[in-house]
Amino acid sequence: MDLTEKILIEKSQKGDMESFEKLIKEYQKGAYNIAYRMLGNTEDAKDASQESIIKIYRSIDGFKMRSSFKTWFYRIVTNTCLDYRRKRSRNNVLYIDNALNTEEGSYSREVEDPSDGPEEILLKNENMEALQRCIFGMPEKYRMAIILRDIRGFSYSEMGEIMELPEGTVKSRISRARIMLKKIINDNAEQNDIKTV
Amino acid sequence: MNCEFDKTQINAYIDGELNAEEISIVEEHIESCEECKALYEELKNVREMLSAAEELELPDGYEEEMHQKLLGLNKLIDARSKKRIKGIKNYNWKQWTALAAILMVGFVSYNVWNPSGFNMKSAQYDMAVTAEEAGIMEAPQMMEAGSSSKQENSMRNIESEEAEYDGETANIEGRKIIRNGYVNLEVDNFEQIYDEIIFMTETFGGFVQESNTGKRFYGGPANETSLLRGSLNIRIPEKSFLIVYNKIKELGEVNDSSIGGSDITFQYNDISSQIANLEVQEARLRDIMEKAENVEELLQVERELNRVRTEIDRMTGMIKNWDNLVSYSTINVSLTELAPNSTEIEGFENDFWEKAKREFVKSVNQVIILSQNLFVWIISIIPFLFILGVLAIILAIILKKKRKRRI
Repeated sequence: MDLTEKILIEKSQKGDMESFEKLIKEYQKGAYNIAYRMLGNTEDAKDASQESIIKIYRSIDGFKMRSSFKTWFYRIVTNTCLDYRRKRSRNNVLYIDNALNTEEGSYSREVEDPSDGPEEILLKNENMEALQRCIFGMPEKYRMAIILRDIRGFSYSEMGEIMELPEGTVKSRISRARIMLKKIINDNAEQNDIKTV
Repeated sequence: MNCEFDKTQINAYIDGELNAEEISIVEEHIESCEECKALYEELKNVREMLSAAEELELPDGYEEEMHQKLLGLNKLIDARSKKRIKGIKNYNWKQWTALAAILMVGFVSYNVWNPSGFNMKSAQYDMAVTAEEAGIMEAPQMMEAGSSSKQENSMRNIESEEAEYDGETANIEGRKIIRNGYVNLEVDNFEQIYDEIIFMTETFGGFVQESNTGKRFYGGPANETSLLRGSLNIRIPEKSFLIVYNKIKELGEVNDSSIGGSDITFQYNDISSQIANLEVQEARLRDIMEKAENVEELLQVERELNRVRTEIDRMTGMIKNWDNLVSYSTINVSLTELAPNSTEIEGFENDFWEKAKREFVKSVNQVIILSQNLFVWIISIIPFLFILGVLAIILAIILKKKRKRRI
């Protein structure tokens, strides 16, 4: 943890909102992206990431300098996202690009995208959406592992701190998640004939 | 997928989380196993695809929205913390401390000012003084007895009584005046002055009618060294009144003094002439009684004689009392002892250490009693605390849930 961050944390703990905003500036994009990958739509991603930042602001007093702020921050973000989904599912709000979780597993809704645009963008978007759907096809804990590792690029040890798991568990979870995702992508590719990059 | 090779290691290899030894094992296996090589390529592909996934930019106004949310939260926290400071926190600190302090003060004062600890010494002292006075008091008591006993009076010869009044009753130009004085003195040495007044009274043929002595402060450590105060009610023969009055005033610092007198000449003469009339009537009735011829007459006269006699006795009593008041003037002396003004360094008192020790032991005992009582009290309220605690926990849980829901 560098010195600037430490100072900013100390100021935030004293209730300095400006310092807090500086402190989270480089993290909030990460929070937003994790939330997006976890929840599947920008609206929820915004809500959930902001909710987690509020939680962080409220509980920054309890942050001890012993651990890294980065992992502490993302731990709250991931937990909030998981809670957010649970809350939403209770409220029975359905999103077109949300995966449906059934007993046999989860699958995503297929909705035709009415928007059009330049072909490359369309292709890119299509691929993005396809990828997003594939990620959504995984159970939450594997999804989280794959998001943190392959999309956000956290190391195993960082993930261990964020997910509060031993490194060995992280390792095997990533392995399983990746094999699982590979299978889903292959299956999807066969069905929809979408070419993976 | 028949290969038994640990797929986790392949993934860890892709992620670069293996040490040199492990890397070489994985690399060796991939080279030799087609299946695992294919898997490795595929997984690597997935990983590359994912890491290539474009990072979403924050939507427009995200930071501004965040800022507003935090501001709103700040206000909420402020309001809440203020409320909490005013309500619960203050309560926790100040109110509880105050409550504890009040309880402590109550306990301490109850134990220190225990009514049973009130000193009885002054009462004993008073009794001792009274006993001492008994000798002095005997004289006036006998006198009073003499004046108040009607039976005795009725036996006496009226004429000799009358002679007594004229002879003994001192008056100024034939006037009957009851005199009294009041002196409020501050003295250095109470007991000495007290004795002196009594001695003076006796010397001038007077007596102490009433006296009392007491300590100025009761209870507590001040008791033993307390200064005294007291009052004397002395009777002095009328002719010596002014002399004694002035002498008493010389005994100390006079705070307050007064002389009063009431002229009872008129009433005195009135009653005296009434007595004279009644005596004439009595003499006549005696004559009639001797002349009475039958029992009825005799009884009637005797009844009348009895009434006159009673009236004479009553009035004679009044005269006697007045004579007493007139011939013996009253002086009320009120004494207050002051600490002597010492101009010398006195050094330590002899029992200095004794006193300190005694007070220390006293304090220790009080602390012990206090803590015992406190302990008993705390034990006694445990059931209430238990109930309160349960209620508080329930309340806390409800509040927590509510707060959580609000976020």
